[in-house]
Amino acid sequence: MLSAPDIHMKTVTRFIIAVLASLCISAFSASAQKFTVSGYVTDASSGEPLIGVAVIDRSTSLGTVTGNSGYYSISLEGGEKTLVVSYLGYEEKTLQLSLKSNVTLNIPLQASNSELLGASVTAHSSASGARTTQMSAIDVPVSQIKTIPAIGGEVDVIKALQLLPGVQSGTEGTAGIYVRGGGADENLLLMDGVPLYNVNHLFGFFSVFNADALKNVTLYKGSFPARFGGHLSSVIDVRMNDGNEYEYHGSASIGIISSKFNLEGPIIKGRTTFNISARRTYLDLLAKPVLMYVNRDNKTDAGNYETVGGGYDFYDINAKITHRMRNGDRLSLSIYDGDDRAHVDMDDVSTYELAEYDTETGVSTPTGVTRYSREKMKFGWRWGNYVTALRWNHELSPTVYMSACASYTQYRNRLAVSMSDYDSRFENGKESDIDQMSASVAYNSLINDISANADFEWRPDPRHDIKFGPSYTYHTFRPGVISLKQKGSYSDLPELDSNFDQTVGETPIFTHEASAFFEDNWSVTDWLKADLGFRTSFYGVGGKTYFSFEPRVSARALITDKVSFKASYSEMGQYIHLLCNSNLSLPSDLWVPVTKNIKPMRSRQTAAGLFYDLGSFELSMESYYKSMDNVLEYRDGASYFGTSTGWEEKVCMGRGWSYGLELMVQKKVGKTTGWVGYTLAKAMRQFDREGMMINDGNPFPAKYDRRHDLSATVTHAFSKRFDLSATFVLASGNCGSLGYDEYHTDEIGGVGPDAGLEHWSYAYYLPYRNNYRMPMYNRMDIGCNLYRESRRHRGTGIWNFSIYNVYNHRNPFLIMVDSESEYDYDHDQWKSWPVLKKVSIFPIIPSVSYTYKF
Amino acid sequence: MKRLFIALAVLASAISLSSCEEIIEFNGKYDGEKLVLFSCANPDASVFTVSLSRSRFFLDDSQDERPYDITGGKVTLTVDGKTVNLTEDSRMPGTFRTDLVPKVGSRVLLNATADGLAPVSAETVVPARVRFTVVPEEPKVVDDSEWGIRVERHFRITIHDEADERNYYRFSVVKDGTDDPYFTPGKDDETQGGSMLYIPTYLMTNDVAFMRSGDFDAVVDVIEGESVYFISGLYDDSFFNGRDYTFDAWIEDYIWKYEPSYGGGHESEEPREIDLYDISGWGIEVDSVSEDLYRYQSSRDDYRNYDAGLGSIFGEPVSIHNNIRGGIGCLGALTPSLVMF
Repeated sequence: MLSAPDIHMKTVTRFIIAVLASLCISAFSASAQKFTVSGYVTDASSGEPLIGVAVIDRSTSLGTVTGNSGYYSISLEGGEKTLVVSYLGYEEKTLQLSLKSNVTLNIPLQASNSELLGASVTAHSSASGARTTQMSAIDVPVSQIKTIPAIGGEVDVIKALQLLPGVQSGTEGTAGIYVRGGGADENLLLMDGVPLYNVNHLFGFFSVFNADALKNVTLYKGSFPARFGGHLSSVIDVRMNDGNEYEYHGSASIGIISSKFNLEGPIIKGRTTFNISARRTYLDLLAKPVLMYVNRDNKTDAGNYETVGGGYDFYDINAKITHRMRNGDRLSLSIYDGDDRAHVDMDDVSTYELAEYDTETGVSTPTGVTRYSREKMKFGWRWGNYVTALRWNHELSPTVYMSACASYTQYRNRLAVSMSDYDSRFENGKESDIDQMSASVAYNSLINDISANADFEWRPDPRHDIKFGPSYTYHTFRPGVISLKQKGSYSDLPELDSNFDQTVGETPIFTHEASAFFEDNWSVTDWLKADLGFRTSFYGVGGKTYFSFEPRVSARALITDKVSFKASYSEMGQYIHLLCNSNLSLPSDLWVPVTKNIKPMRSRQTAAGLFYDLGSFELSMESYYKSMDNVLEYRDGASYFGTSTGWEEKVCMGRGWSYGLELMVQKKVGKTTGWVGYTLAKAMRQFDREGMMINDGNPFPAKYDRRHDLSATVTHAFSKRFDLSATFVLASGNCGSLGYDEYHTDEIGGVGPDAGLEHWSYAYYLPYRNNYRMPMYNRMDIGCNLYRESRRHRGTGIWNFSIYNVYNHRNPFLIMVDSESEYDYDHDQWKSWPVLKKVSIFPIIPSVSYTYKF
Repeated sequence: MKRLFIALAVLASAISLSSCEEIIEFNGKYDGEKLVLFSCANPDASVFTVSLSRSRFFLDDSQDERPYDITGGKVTLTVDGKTVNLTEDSRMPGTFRTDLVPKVGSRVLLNATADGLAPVSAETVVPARVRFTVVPEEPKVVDDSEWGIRVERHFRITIHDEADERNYYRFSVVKDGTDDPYFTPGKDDETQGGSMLYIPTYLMTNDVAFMRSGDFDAVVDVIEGESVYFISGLYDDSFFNGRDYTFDAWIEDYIWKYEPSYGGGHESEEPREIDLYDISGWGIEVDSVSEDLYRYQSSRDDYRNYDAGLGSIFGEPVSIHNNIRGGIGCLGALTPSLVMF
């Protein structure tokens, strides 16, 4: 992967490192004697570490923010100091210090709006806001996510992210996201820092994130911090709750699609906490009455019946145990397990008595011989993730903090079909002439990742916040293994007896990925702040090693105290691809690593924007340009369905680019919260390499290219007993491919020198891929929560009523050409004509759920 | 409770009824019907033929009986600077012919117009003949039954591929049909012109250069542990560009032990004498094909498979290759090379 631009980047890297080193040295050598104040910032009532809390030295206006573990560290010159600790939604705290030595100071913060039962939102701004260097990132408060109306009342993190500017949703109702013109597989989804491969339940209509278990969700669309890598277009960093250190709390919820519960509390008060959430759907239970109705006439005769059964359900479990040691270290163990299960069973039994037919008399005479046959078929599909992560947070020194993690993640997919056939003959109660056959096909695919990483935070000086660390992942890909089994015996044809058991498929692929990053969040002056960093990675697959160097630079210039200008440049590399063809997220979609022929994807993104803090409001305007190399598209006509065999031949490698403008107004605190976002964007693809051309090498729109996308979500807490929320989306339609011209294709160049030109068949001429834009998409959802405190104040009951697509707008799920016909009485014949049809699958959907919190 | 169930049933019905198909207006930009042109330059042909028709808007609901026919069509052909007007075949409207046949290496330019449609043009170059050699092996009997034998005839084929250019080939099996009593050259379905029979027999190989993944061959590969590829299609030289490439190929032939009776059955026929070693009169034809023709036929095959398969739900759409400026269709070229045994 070392190409000319990379060699060029090596020079750039050396330059950056040299500049960094010299600046660091000068900064440190010029400083007087300093002492460090460090510790954790937590929620006073629960002990939950708070992420993104600002800790500022009032005299210098220099400061820091807490990391994912709530840890902060700030080095200051000795003397009297005033530290201001602020966090949106919490009461600001001012601390007076006489700094003569290093100090460990844990800071509990009190929530500022504890009188409200419901949705008045607390939030932080570690990743957004005018004063940070971070841009192209949005914190979405989990409390806000929980109030956004959703299909079936099932709160969904990914669907909430789809409402943000720069994020396009895929097909309606699905949880796929497309960020700034990127593909569905270009999003890095992290749960407590561990990647998840499959984030969808129910073919993408729900995501695997259970909001009850979450503490924080941050979406990065660009300006990627160097600690993130491996995917081109976005990082979705989801953090789980640690659990309450002092009291037991929980909730139980029942809805029309699923039920769930959450329980948290101390195992050892003030030291060890747990947090566990579980969710299960009951579509299988709901289907049972339907199946009973379908099978109502069956099984009345034990010898003759036909039954069909089946069901679908999914579950997920999130669990986390956190232990705070006496020396301040924190150990946490996070576990996620989730599966989707679908199955269909059919059973067909028939018994009949043989008769002899007399052709002369036309009379049938029973023979006393009975034939018995039974056919059974079972289909099962199961897929899901398992993730576990063990994290150790340790203060190496007052200025150096380490967060080490070992993790294991698995994505598995198993599909099995089995059939059996049994025939026999009964005569005088004795069974004979037994023919039996059974066959099964099982398809298995699996990805295992074993990872270890250590992130270090070094705060030698208030002006420098340095992070660095290595990581290593051992990937095992088993893209697809098919097991075939067949067994049969036949009473009158013993030569056909069979016993076949064979496993075929691709051999496992083992790959190594090692990376390291460095970033320095540097306060150059009071008004200028920069985040300089880089990430390098090596990827070894099949004897081939790829190297990637990814510089990350962003800077913020304060124009006024509340207005800033930011700019960033970041490069990302990606070594895996997702093979999928459909608009839905199917479990048969396969992740495959890069190969000798299919090179890693790479993106370069430049962004700039203006940011305005208006107290509880944040305004932002960003523009970006992103280019992508080695992106994949399927060749014309290629169909991928559950097997990776020969996948390299089915794809083309090309490039893409996208650019756009994003506007956002966000209000995170108070009785009214929400945001309005607008995106003006364009995303294109071009595949012009020899042997890999699509559309004759000419550019064409990306599938989810949308010119306009307006979304708004607002929640208002009218009282502590009632809040109302609404979501509105208005966007350009998705792109699709539709041939506008019908014509007949000729057989040209037939065999023989004088082969004729014969009309072969009719076809629709498609000038280029994704040439048609579906009608505009618009939808409004509303929801409300009614809170009722229990009599003894032990808990709160919450009724949630929501309506998805409240004015029942039929948004297109897909567009197709069909025909209509009617009888023409004048000409005494049927007349038909073609029509364009849209298929909608989500009409108005009301839902209700009840949650009890204690 | 009963009322609740009734209410839920009514609600579910309302939802399912409102979730359905709906006819919508076309909101795209359609730039009008287009002239459709197809032709293929073959230096061994006796005439040069062009087919003209028109496209129609895919939502056109007129009940026109011949919606693709054109009127007032005119076609001019320029071959290496010489221009002629083609004559429309009165028996086959829309078909134009001339006896100006391009040669190997000729630059061919076509211009066509028709009433009410934008003029179109296209050009191509007739490719050079491919050099190849065939070494036949002795036939092998692979199956012997009461009524006949199945014979494999193996060949060692060497293609001399030109370097520094992308070449496209098509393989077919031919048989000299001049003395075959059951075929009338140029008339029967199995024959295409002259006295040469173009046998609808698959030429097979297990050479990886002709592997087409994702189709039946791949399944054969997986299940059987070996590959068999039918190479009666079009291939590019990406696997052997600029090299002399030798591979093994074979055809299968079933030889009846009795004289076949085309009137019905074989039981009453007399046993016939079988000469396994007689392969005289058989041949392999390798056509050198223009890139446009290769891409047109490949994409058309993909379109057919896409249309017949899972299509729009699980597959990517297919755009049939078009090299007609201002219209739709394909001007291709091919040059045959033949080796007889």
